[in-house]
Formats: sequence, C-alpha cells, structure tokens
Amino acid sequence: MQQAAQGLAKGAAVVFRGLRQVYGTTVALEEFSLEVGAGEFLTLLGPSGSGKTTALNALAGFIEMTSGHIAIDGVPISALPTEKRNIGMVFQNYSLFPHLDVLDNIAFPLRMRGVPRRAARERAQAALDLVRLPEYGRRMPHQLSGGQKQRVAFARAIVFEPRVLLMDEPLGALDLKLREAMQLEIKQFQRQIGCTVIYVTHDQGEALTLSDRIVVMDKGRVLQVGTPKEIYDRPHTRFVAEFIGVNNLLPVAGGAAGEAVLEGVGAVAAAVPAGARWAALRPEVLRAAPGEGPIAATITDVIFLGDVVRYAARCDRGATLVFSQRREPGGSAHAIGARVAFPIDPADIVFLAE
Amino acid sequence: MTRFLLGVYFAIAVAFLVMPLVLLVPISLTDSQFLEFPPRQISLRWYREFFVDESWVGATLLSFKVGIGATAVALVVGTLASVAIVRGSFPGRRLIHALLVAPLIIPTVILALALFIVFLRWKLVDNVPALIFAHAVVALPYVVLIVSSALRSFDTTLERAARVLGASPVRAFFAVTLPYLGPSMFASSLLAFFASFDELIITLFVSGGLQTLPVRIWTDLMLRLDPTVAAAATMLIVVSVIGMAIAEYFRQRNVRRYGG
Repeated sequence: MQQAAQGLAKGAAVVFRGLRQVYGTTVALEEFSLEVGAGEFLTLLGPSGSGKTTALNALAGFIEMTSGHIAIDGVPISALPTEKRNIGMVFQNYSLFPHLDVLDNIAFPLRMRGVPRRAARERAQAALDLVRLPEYGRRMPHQLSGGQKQRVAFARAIVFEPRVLLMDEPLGALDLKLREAMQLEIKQFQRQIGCTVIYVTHDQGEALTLSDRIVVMDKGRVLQVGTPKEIYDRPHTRFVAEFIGVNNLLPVAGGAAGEAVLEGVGAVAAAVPAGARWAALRPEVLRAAPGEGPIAATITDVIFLGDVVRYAARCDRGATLVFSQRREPGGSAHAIGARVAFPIDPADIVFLAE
Repeated sequence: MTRFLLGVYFAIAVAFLVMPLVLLVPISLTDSQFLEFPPRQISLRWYREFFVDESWVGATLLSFKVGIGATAVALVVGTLASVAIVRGSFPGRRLIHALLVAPLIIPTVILALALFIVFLRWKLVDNVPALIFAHAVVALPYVVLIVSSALRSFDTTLERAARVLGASPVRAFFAVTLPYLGPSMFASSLLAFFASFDELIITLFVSGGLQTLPVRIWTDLMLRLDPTVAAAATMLIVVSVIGMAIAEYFRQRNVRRYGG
C-alpha cells in the first residue's frame, strides 16, 4: 500500500535506527539514526573519521554493526549478507574488474542474478548508452580515462535497477573540471532512474550541488540534517558553520539588552539568543562601504576569484573579517590599505551556542 | 670509466652464468661418441638416440608425470594455504607460512633422508603417487611465496564490489580474485614444475627403481657418458625458456590491467 502511495518513485526508503560501531576503544559511529526518503538524494558530509563511510559500509553489509538496525522499505536487512541486499554501489577507485571488458563488467551483477549471458550483455549495452559511452563495450578498463571509468562504474551499479544506490566519494580521484561536469551528470542520471541515492563525500561544494538533503557528521556523530540551503544559511554549530563554505566566526561578548558585542568588531543592534557564544557572518552578506563608520576596517588582502573578489579587512578593534563582492562593470574595487565601514545587518548574523 | 668497468663486470658475470648452457648446444650436435667441444661434425644423431632409447623416453615421461602431478598438488594446496595465511586471522599463521616455505631453506639431503625414513616405514618407496607428494613438498614453497605475496597486494575492494553486485563470497573469489592471481599461479606453477622436474636428491633416496630424467642423466654420468645427455639438456633448456616467456607475457598483461 505504502509503495503504491509513492506512485512513480522507484527508490526505496532507508531507515537507520540507533547505529553504533565501536572499534576497540574508538567509537566510529554513535547513535546514528536517519530516515532517507524514497527517491531522495542524501549526502553524508564530513571530514575523514567522521563516520560517514562507516554508515555506508554498514548499509552495504561490509561491516557488522555493534548495535542498531537498518531497514530498506521497512524490511530489516541487518541479517542479510551483502549480496542479498540488492544495493548498487559506486566506489571511489571505481573498482572495475580489470580482467573483464566494459560490457562484461556492467553485465556482472546481472550474471550474478542468473540472467543469461546474451540478455545480460544487451541490458549492459542499454546502461552503457545511458551513460553515453555506447561505443566502449569492448574496451578493457585500463584503456579508459578516469571519467569514463566513473561512468562505467555508475552503469554497472544501476544496470540491475537497484532501488538504493550508494556512492562513496565517487569523484574523489578526478580533477576539478571533470568533477564539476560529472556532478551534473550524476544528478541527471539519478533523475532519470529515480532511485534513492546515499552519497558520501568530504567535499562540501559537491554536497551543496547534488543533494536534496545533507547530513553533516563529525567524530561519529550527526551534527545537522537539512537541505543545502538550511545547512548553509542556518548552521546549528560552529563546526557546521566552518565546514560549509566560508564564514566569519566571532566570539559574542555580553552587551546591553538588544545589543550584541562581537569581539574585535563592535556592537550590533541585535537580540542575542540565550547561550549564544559565536556569531557567524557569511562573506557574501557583509557589505562594505568606502569610508569611516562605527565598525571601520582597513583592507589587508585582496583575492581575485574571477566572478567575485574576496577581501580581508582588519577591524579597528582587532578582528579580521572576510567579505566578498561581485565584480560589476565599472564597479570600483577596494585596494589594500583602503578604509571601509561595515553596516552589519542583524538579520544576517547566525548565533551559535557551541 | 666506472661505466665501462661496470660493463665489463656485467659481461663477465653473464658469461659465467650463461656460458655452460650455451656450450651445451654445440656439444649436443656432435657426431662423435664423446662430449667434445667444438664438435668436428654436426649431426642430430644424439637427439635421435634420445628418442629411440626407451629408458630415456620412459624417464622423460615419468618426469613429466611426476612434475605435473607435483605441480597440481602444490598449486591447489599452496593457493588455499596462501588464502588462509593472508586472509585468515587465526593464531599460528606465521608459523604455518614458515613451515610451508621451509623446504626451500632446509638442506635437501636432510629432507630426502627424512622422507626416505617415512617412506620406508609406510612402504611407499617405488611408488609414483608417493613420489609426486615428495616432490610437491619441494614445489610448495614457490607457490606459497608467490601467490601469498600477490594476494597481499590485491585490492580487496574489488571483492567488495563483486559482493555488493550480487556474488557470494566463494563466487566473488572465483570471479574476481582468482583471475588476478592467475599469472602468479602460472609463474609459480612453472617454478614448481621445474623444481620437481630437476629434483635429483630426494628422488634418488625415495624412488627405488623409478627413473626420472635427472636420475637417468645421473646414472649415465656414472656409467657411460655420451652426448645424449647434452641433447636431453638442450631440449630441457628450450622447454624452460618457452615456459618463462609465456609466464612473462601473462605477468606483463596483469601489470597493464591492474596497474603494477
């Protein structure tokens, strides 16, 4: 019934409940609970050692959890061996089978499911067409470029129409330009197929670009779950604020009622929530006007980034603020040593408790 | 100057290693009754002699039979042992590894004596299957050394990939791991085969009346020395060179595919 209600969605819902993984004395994953919607593109984002890969490996069945359980569409899978979970997976180093040609690589999961060789190769060819490498079936993996290997790995992971697809840093080994192109392709492929994707990365830009929702993790714990916009605009903790994008983080000193004193910057007319210890300010919301003001600073660094210019400015009270401005035709830029004033809008400040 | 001296040193070293083998070829082509160099007249007489003499042919066939048998035993046992040693996590793995490699280090005479005593006790002297197992002991270290080192450098995420794509552990091993080990298994089986094929000491101790090719050459040297020995040796060299060339081809193909 529930599946019928999901209509055309081909993805499966995945539920993690209280996952815990301990290696000796180190806790790799703690109280990991998460509900992934059918057809959702969810990213586990965090630095190495954050537990994101551990969660993925638990879902794939590569490791046995210390405690907790996982269900796909309500069916518990913790007792199932890896091969019975029917999950597609793309690995960081592609893990194509070097002794099989491209078509046999893609046909492999079908052959393992008892599909006769000819039918398997026909379906593999269709998957190869989907990733736009129709002519490459006879090549051996070592004859492919990184981007091509990545697409073949993707085709192999989806050819048997799994309802859940795991991707473990799939673009980690590619150079920047190719990575950006592949991000768009992955997003397109996923829309075409409609399966649920759980994506692991340490690259926050990738997470923001691809995801419906992001799970930010650190040291085995989930810090925040939300849409890319929520995570970017309203981080809950200092770690999230610093890990995603660039942020000015300033300690908050107590001020008079209705006034926040940002250490090293000055007083801003803003109500400080109880327990707030940090104020986060995005570089792109900071406006700087040439001249003097209550919060004045001297430009110390100018970084040219192409479409935007990023400035570092040292406030008279000691803190360094980073702000960026779009380049506009005829617009004037600030030079090093120039004086600027910040009219800080209280609405742009995100107060953080920890 | 240093380069030149090193070149001379290299030439001398290679000559020392290769010269005896190269000399065998003309000696085997002599028409004379004796081992002589250089041969005064060229003939294939001793090659014909080799194939006409039933004792030579029989010894060669027995050597192939024992060699192939010992290789098969060593390959299966050695590969399975390597999997256990590399992948397992039971106590005593290192000890087992050391035991399996030991025949390479223990003086052959001692091994031969030990086998001889055991064979006497269990009445296994003059028995082809028993000889095969005796040779397998000598051949085993090559398989264990080469296959276990290949297995250590194998990227196990390939097996994980096979598993998640639907292969059971055993199927993943046969579908992914075994093809990777193929060239190593081939190379080690060549070494294992030749370890058995030219094994003399153990065979002398335990074979009783059985005559393998090295035993046949040995007895020939004791009784009457004629160029048939040289002919047999030349043919052996050709066979081993072909075998090594095939092994090298498969090794290089693996390097290309798996990236070194």
